[in-house]
Amino acid sequence: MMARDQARPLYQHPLGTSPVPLGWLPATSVLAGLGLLSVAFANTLGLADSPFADIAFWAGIFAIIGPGAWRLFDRAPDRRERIGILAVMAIALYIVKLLHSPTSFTLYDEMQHLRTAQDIALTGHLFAENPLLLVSPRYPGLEVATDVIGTATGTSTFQAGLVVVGAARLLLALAMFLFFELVTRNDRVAGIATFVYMANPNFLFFDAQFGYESIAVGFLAVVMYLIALSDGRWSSGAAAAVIPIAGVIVTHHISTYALIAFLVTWSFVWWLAPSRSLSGPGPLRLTVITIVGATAWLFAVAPLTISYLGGRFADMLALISLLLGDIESRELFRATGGMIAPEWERIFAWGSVFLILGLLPIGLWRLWRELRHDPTAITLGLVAMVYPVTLALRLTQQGAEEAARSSGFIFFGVALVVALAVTAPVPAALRLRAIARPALVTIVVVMFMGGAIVGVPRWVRIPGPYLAGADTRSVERQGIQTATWMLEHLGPERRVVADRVNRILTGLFGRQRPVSNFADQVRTYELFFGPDVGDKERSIIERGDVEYIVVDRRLAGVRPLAGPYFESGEDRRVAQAGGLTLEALTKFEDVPGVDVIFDSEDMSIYDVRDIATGVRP
Amino acid sequence: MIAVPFVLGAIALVLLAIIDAGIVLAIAAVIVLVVIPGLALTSRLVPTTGLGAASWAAVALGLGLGAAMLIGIAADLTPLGIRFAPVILLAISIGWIVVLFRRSGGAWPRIARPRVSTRDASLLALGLLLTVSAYGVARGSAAGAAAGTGDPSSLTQLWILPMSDDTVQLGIHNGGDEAMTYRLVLESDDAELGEFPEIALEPGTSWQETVPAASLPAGSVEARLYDAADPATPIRAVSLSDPPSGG
Repeated sequence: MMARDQARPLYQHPLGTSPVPLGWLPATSVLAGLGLLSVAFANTLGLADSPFADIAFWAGIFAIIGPGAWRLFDRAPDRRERIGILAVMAIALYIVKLLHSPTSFTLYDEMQHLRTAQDIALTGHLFAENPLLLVSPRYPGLEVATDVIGTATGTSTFQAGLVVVGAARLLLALAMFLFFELVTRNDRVAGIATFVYMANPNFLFFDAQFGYESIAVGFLAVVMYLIALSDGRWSSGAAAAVIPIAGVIVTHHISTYALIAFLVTWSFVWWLAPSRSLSGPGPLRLTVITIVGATAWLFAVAPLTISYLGGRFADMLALISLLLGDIESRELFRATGGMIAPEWERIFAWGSVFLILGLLPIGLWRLWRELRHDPTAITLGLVAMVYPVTLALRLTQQGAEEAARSSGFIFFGVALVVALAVTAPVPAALRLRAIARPALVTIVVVMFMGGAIVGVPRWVRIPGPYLAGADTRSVERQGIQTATWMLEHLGPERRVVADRVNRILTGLFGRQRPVSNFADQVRTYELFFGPDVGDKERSIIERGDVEYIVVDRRLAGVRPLAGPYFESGEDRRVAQAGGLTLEALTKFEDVPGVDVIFDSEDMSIYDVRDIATGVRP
Repeated sequence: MIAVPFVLGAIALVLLAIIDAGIVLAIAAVIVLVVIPGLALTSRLVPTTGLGAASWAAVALGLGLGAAMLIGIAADLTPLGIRFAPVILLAISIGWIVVLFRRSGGAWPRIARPRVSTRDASLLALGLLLTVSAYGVARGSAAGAAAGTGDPSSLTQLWILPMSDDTVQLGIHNGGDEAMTYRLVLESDDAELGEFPEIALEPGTSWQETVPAASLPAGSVEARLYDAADPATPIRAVSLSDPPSGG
C-alpha cells in the first residue's frame, strides 16, 4: 500500500504566501451589492405588477455576473482573486433567491421540506410521516443540520435553514473550483468552468432553495475533490471523503445515485487508463463504500424510495414513445395555463442550449487531445455527453421534470468541457484576439441567462400579485390563515382534501393530514370534476377516510400555471382548458349531512364525516 | 480614511442585526458547530501540508456539514432526541475523539497575508452594506405586499362548529389590518333564531359564542355575517345540516 501511495507525487495547488493583491474582488463585490439592490427593487416592482420589473431583475443579474465573468477570462488574476470572485458570485446568486422570499420559504418544494424540519423540531426525532412528500423524512440530512443549528441557537427553521443552504452553496463553489483545478492544472480554466456550472438551469433557484439537492450537490463536489486530491489513496485523504459521502446518502436519493453512477464510471475509466500503473488506486474503494452505504440506507431506512423513483424512471421511457411516434412532443416554454414565455426569453434559452451544443464537440476534442490520459477528465467528458439526451427528454411531458432535475449533475461534466472549449487557443491567423474576450464573455453570460430562463418561468422568478394555481404565487395570507384556523379549531392530523397549494398550506401551517393519490393511492381529485355528489364521490371519501374538504373558489375557471389543480394523475386536459367549475367545487354545500363549517372570502371548509362514516364521532 | 471600512462594515452588521438578528446568530452557530469541527476533522483526516486556505475552507465545510448531520442522527438515538443537550454533548465528544486520535504531520494552512488597502476594504464593506440594504428592501416590499389586500373584510373568517358537549360554537376572526364591526344572524329555514347586532373586532382579534344545541331547531341552521356598514349584503355564510342533539 505504501509503495502505491508513494508511486506518484500528489498534485498540490499553488500555495503562494506572497501578499495577495485583491485585484477586482472589491469592485466586483460592490457591483454584486448594487446588482442585489436592483433585484430587490425588481421584486418590489413585480409585486406592483410593473413591466419594468424584468429590466431591473436582469440588470441586477448582469451586475452580479458580468464583471466577474470578464475578470475570470482575464489571464492576469491570481488564483486567490479568482476564488474570491467565484465565492462572491455564488453567494450573491444565492441571495437573489433569498430576496425572492425574504421572510419565509415559499417555493413549493421548500414547504414540503419545511414540514419535515417542523416535525423534527416538534418531536426531536426523525422519520415522522410527511404526507406532503413521503420520501423527505427518510432523507433528513438537510433538516437535521438545520435543526442542529436551530436547536443550538433558538433561531427559527427559516433562519437556520437559510444559513445552512448558504454554507452548502459556498462549499459547492469552492470545491468545484478546486476539483476542476486539479483536473486541468489551470486556475483560469477552473474558474471559467465553475462559472459555467452556475449557468445550469437549477443553480439560481432550484439548488438554492431549502431542498435536499441544494446541500447534496455541495457534498458531491467535495467528495470528487477529495478523491481527485488523494488519487484515491486512503492515507492521503480519501478516508475523509466518507463523511461527505454519508452526508449525500442521508440527504438525497437522486444525488446518491448520481454519485454512484459517476464513481462507477470513474472507476471503470481509471481501470482502463493506460497510465494506471502510475496512479493511485482511484475511486474504487470509495465506490464500493458508497454502493454499500446507499443500499443499506435504501433498504433499512428508505424503502419507499423505490416506488417514489420507480415512477420517475418510467417517465424517462417516454422518450422511446416519442421516438416511436406514440406520443406528441411537449410545447416548450408554454405553461399549462397557456402563458408563454416572451420572445426574447425564448431566444436566450435557445441560444444557451445551442451554444452549449456547439461548444461541446470543441471542448471534447480539446479534452481528448490534452487530457485523455486523466481518467477524471475522461469521466467528466462522458458525463457531458449525456447533455443532449436530457434535452430530448425535455420534449416529453413525462420526462421534462426528470431532465430538468438532472442538470445539476450533468453540468459537472458540461462545465469542464465548455470551459475547455472557450479557453481553446485561437489561431493567430484568425486575428480574433481583440474581440475574443468580449465574445466569450457574452457567450457565457447568454448561457447563464438562458439557463436561468429555462430553470424558472417568469411568474416564479419575480414575485408578484396573487395567482390561483401557481404554487409560490398562490401562497398568501388567506390560505395561511385558513390553515392556521384548522390547527386551532379542529386540531392536528385531521384527514383533509385540498387543491395542490392548499394541501401544502394545510399540511404545513395547519399540521393536517392531507389525503391524496400520492400519499394514499386514493384519487381524491376526482371529487371535484363531476357535477354532483354520487356514489363515486362517497366511495372516495369513505376509502380516504376523509373528514374535511377545503375548497378554494379562486380556482374556478383558472388554468393553473403549475400544471394540475390537485395533483399529478388528474386529467390534464381539464386544467389546460380551465375546466374546473364553481358548481363542481361547491357542490358539497347542498348535500345532506355535510356542514359548511368555515367561510373566508374565497375559501370554505366542508365537514364530510357523516358521508365518510355515516355516524358523527 | 482607515475608519471608512470599519464604519461601513459596522453599519452593515448593525443593519443586518436590526433586520434579522436570527440570521446573525445562525451564521455564528454555523461557524461554531460546522466550521470549527470541520477544521478539526480536516487537520486530522487530510494531509494538510499541501492544502491552501481555499482547500481548507472547502474540506472543512464539507466535513463540518456532514458531521453536523451525523451528530443529529446520533442524537435521534438518544432518549432526549435532537435537543440542545445531546447535540452539544455529542459535538464535544466528537471533538475529543478527534483530538485523542490526532494524526501527526497536520499543519495549519499557510495563509498569504492579504494586501488590503483602505480603498479595497472600504469597497468590500460597501458591498456588504449594499447587500444588507437589498435584503432590507426585499423584506419591506414583502411585508407591504402581504398587508395590502384592498378590501378590509377580505380576511374575515366565520365559523360554526358542533362541539362534543352538545353545544355549537360560533366564531369570527378579523385577520385583516383594519378594525371591523360585524352583524351576525342565526337562521333556520329563513326564520331568524337570533342576532348579534354589533361585534367590533380589532385586527387580529376573534369573537366566539357558544349556543346550546338544545336551543336550536331540528334541521339545518345557518349563520350569516354582515359588515355593519352594509347590513343588507351577507359577506360570509356557514351552516350545519343537523346540529348535534338539535331540538
